[in-house]
Amino acid sequence: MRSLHRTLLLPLLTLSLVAAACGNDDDASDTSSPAPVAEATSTSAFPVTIEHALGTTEIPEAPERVVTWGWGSTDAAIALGVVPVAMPHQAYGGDEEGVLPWVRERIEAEGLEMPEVLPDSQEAPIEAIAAARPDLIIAVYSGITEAEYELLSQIAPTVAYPEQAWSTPWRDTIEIVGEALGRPDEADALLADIDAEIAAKGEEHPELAGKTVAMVWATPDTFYVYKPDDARVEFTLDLGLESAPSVEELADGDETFYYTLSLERLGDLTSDVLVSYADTEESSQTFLSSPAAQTMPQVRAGTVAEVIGTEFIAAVSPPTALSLTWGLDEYVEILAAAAQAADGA
Amino acid sequence: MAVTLEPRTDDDTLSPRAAPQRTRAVVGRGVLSSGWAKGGGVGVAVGVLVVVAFASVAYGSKTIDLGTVVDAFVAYDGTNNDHLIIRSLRVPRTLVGLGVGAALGLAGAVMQGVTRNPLADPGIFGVEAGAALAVVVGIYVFGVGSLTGYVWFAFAGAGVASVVVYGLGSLGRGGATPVKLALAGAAMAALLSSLTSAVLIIDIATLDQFRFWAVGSLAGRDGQVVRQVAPFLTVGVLLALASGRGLNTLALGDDVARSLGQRVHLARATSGLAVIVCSGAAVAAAGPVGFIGLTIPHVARAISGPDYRWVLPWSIVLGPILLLGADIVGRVVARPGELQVGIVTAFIGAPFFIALVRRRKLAEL
Repeated sequence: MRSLHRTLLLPLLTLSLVAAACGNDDDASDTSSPAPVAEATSTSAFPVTIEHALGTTEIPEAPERVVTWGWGSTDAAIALGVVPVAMPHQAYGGDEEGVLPWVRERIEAEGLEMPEVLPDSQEAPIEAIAAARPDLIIAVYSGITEAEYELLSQIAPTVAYPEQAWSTPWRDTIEIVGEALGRPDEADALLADIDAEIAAKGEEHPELAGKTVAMVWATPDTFYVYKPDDARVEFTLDLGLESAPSVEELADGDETFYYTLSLERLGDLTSDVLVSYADTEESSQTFLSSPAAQTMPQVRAGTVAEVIGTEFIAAVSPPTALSLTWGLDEYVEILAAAAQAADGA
Repeated sequence: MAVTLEPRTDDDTLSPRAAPQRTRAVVGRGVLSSGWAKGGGVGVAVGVLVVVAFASVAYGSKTIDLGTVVDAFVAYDGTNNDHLIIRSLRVPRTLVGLGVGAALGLAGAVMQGVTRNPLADPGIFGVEAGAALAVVVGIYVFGVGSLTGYVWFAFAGAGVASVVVYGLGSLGRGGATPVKLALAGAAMAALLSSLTSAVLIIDIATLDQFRFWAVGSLAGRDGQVVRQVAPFLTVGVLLALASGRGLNTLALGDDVARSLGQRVHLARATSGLAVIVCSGAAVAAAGPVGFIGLTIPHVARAISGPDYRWVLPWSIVLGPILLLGADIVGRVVARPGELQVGIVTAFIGAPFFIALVRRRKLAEL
């Protein structure tokens, strides 16, 4: 269920219930500067010290039993050659056992041992994590609270998010996991590979370069816009697109990585390409055919990139060390089609 | 206990044992006492409602000048976004607000009459929460996908919640006192809405599509919603209006009502059905919106006196004024986003509820 947070739905639900009365939890200060990558020794020698939003964690020696929590840490660890002993249940995008398709594919392809899947819960399942007898807990992209952090730290050294809950840039997730595992060089190499792949994709599709993009999630009565510092937007911009100025102009001062927009104002959210997320084909159609959507130039011009399906959305929101290559081809195809439509429009 | 015209104590007011004294309630007066003043007053209120409805079409998150608003009706241009916003977003939203406001105002008035409880409200008594839970279960378990389908689940949920709350509130010494009923209702409402949240969290698709079953909203309701819910709202309004005379005699206590020739069970059944249909249809269209049903009947009673044949029409007019007014506030305070109307009405209604519990005079029914 943690993954709900990642797809923003749960914070959205909470927000809608508590509404404006509730500000951002504000786990850390202003995010105007990019999240600093963990300060650690650049050699692989332990002990490793990592500073994060909830404290400073020292990892005395190379971990052998790693437990991951949140999103992306599992994938990063596996990509760096460390299979966790236990990992979170991913209800969103995962299969019946809560395992994400790209995780299962990698583990089965390499004949690795499938990690234990932790109970499906909102809060970190402290008891189940303790039962896995970890010597390192990685929750780099997660929403663990200070209280949960204290409890987890009593079980094993715990690495939380660098600045704010659920907003670690996906690259930083990989780098911090690399530091924590004493494999910073491997993390750098992994990122270089991924960068090369994204760059290659971008070059294959020059029509993406310089196109402005707005990324949204429409529900029947509320419309969400993702800000440029959201990880999924950031990754899309890496493909050569640019964040549309309207996205920032309409944003409120909130520190969260999305905002809601009145259905009356959709026409003001101008961009070359609109990336619209939907769980099902049906809900995507419902939105695109609604009167509110008809006020959007992107909908009228047919420059909407529809990202449909929970697995597919999970793979790019935000991408992880394993999901990126898994979902990249299809995502770029969809974007490219919308960008080409924008060229023709 | 002798019938007395002396002022009653708070305890009397809050106890159904004070029922034999209620002859006085019917002769109590509102601000407007003569028939002509009452009729004229309703006319003025209808005028205010028309102004509010117009404001609901003219004002929103997007600023559109009045000339364009008029053009949207007299010279509609389908390629003009402002025209589209007015005709396809604001007009249906306003119509849903009119219907839901009237239904909730009436549901509250009838509930307060039939339970002789000044704190009755379909939101506080868990009726709306029951309807919302039933709708969510209908969607999640039975795959119901249209408003005409939701309505029946909403009716069932509203009915079950009403019976359970009344049953719980009637347990123990003293029977169904106003505060006990309100407590039972609040507890049920809390339980039912947690269950709704639980269902929503289990299923991500439901969560995405149906968040408004947790907090009511008028946003995103299109013309189809208006057409589908209109027949149910009409039936609810007619049932509620038909129960006016019965509520007057029920206010005298069951024995007096019976001696006046009132068929008490029939009057209760009609009233109960009116509450269920009004609340269920309102929830199916907009999700749970609290406090309209609580505040409006009190305002209506303060203006027109306790005669339900007047309280009910006043509630029909005042309910949408409050609901649309709250919705307009919700649209403009959080630009470029919006605040759900259910949240705005809670802001207005919660202090009213507290004042009501504390003030004796308002507590007289």
